[in-house]
Amino acid sequence: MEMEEKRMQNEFALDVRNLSVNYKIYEGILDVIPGLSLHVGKAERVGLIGETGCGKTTVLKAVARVLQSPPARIKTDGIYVTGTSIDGRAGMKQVRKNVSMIFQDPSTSLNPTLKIDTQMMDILKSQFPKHSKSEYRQMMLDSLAAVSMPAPERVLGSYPIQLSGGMRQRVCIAISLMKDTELMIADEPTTALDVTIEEQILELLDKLVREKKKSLILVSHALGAVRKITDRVYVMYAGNIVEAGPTREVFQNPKHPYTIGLLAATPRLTGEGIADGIAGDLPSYLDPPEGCRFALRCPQCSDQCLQTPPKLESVSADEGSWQVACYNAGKGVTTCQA
Amino acid sequence: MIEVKSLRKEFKTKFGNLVAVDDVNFAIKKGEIFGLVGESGSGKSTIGSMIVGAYGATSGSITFHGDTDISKDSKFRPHALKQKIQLVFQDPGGSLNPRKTIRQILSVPLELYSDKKLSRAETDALIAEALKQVGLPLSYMDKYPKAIGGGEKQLVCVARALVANPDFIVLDEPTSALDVSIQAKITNKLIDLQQKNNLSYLFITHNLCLVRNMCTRLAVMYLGNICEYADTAEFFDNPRHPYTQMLLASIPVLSDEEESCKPQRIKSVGEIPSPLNKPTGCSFHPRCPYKKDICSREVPPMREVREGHFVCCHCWDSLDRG
Repeated sequence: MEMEEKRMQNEFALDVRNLSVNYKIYEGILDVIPGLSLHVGKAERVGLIGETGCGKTTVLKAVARVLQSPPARIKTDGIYVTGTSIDGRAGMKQVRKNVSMIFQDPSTSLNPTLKIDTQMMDILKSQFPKHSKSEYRQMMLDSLAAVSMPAPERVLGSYPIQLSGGMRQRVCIAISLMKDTELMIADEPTTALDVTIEEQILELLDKLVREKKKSLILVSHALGAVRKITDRVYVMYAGNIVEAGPTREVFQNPKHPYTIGLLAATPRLTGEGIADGIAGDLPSYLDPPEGCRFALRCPQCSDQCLQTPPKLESVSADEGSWQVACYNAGKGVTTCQA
Repeated sequence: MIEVKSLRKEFKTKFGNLVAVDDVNFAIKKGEIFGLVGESGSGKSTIGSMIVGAYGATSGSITFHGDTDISKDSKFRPHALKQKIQLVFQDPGGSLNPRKTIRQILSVPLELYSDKKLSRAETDALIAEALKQVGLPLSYMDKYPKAIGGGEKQLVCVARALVANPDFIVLDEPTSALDVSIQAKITNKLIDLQQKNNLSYLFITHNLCLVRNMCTRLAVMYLGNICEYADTAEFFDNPRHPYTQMLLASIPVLSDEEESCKPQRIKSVGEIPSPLNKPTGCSFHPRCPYKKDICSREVPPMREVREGHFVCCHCWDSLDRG
């Protein structure tokens, strides 16, 4: 009930209620997301982790209203950005005003045929119309300075190809910072970058989000990156959220068999060898299992798991801060061996 | 097994000579997994390609089994030698021909390297053996690459290397295109095969955590030079080169125990310069927090700081663990 109250008071920067997405393709219907709810509080930093094909990007695209439909078919009880629904034309306006997005690959999210200043100018003109050229230029320089870009003057006059990967990602972040949005969505912002550059970009995101009190969703399959800069984490498997809770605690002591397996499979710096990973593959979205979608790969699968999908249920003392969707959560599953 | 001495490779480009690998020395022992770590553009794949003979070295030498020189292009190599050194690529999707079945793909090395012409049944038996070794069902023989998953495709690539019956396999980022749960499976399989068949690997990667759990020794590269070279345990306990410390400190980790293994005081700054325009002296000096005057003037020599632990830095003894 506490949650309902928060909803009423618009305390969420993002509130997704029972979103379901399927794609109609030639072979049939891909039931990608059966029903997913998540929320991001104001000035909260939330991680969304999961492996390739688990539907992370589909959720984000639905939130940013960039999911192509058809083939996607979206059904939802409502997606709210800072308390306003994103439905219809007014909703689109709301999204444009309050949501900014950073994509995975900085080399393809910038237009290769335009100089950086031209690309930044487009955004500025739409956000802050009727300023003079020198004012715009100053704004651009300011936003590049905010992402600690070396030699901002030179960068403005370059084409994306003349910049390195890290610099391009900094430009993308600078562009997303130019409008003062409430919610920032970062879709694998560091996957294409080297580890020393990744560190710099993560630090930068962390600093900016803290300073400007923005809400952040960081989507990644790099678990370490998520641990570094988020407060809360959602773990996704095959279109469902299987575990949600405070990041550090979840990583220290995961409860869902999938989370356990995923964390065990990640090689550690302490060097105690590598666990065997999780047996099997993602189920096909064309014909997903009736019960729990992880059941067929799960070491603790019971009859109940095969029949009805489990719901997210609280496993922590304070109501709802740590939830797991598993019938056997916390009942002695400690390892997830293949 | 493989010994690399003052190896150098230049590429001619429109903008001048690009020195991808410069004065690199290391040796890989028999039955060892040797890790070669570095960020993109550090020249690690170039070394792998030279060992398999994709192109020859500009100068320096690579010897195989002590006496055979393999620093030239593979067209100068006898067939029997090519067979002994195999390669697994990073992208399993791109390295399998989509229009051939797994059987056709795996029979190519057999046709190339066997002394006599094999009958259909013999070929099939050898292919089945290789598939069994990597743990794939025999029914996969008549499938096309697109019908199997990414991890399984990579296993087919490993099987393709194995049917040639090699002594040495170059693994060029074999798991970086795969998900974590699949990566674990493949690496365990690789370690397993290495022990069973007494193979040696050159494991090229940017993932230090993987190296920590897999390799016996490793070398870290920066801009074409090796900056540190040691046994895995010694390396992670006692990293001496500032770049290695920076690299270790940058790894995003999953637990507090790991956090405490990392060097604490160094911070990542700057970016890798273009190899076309290398800094003078030590190539790392523009990013180095400990730099002195000498660093920009002279290229540091490789020094042995402990047994088997080599560091290429002017100030290695004045730095602490960071």
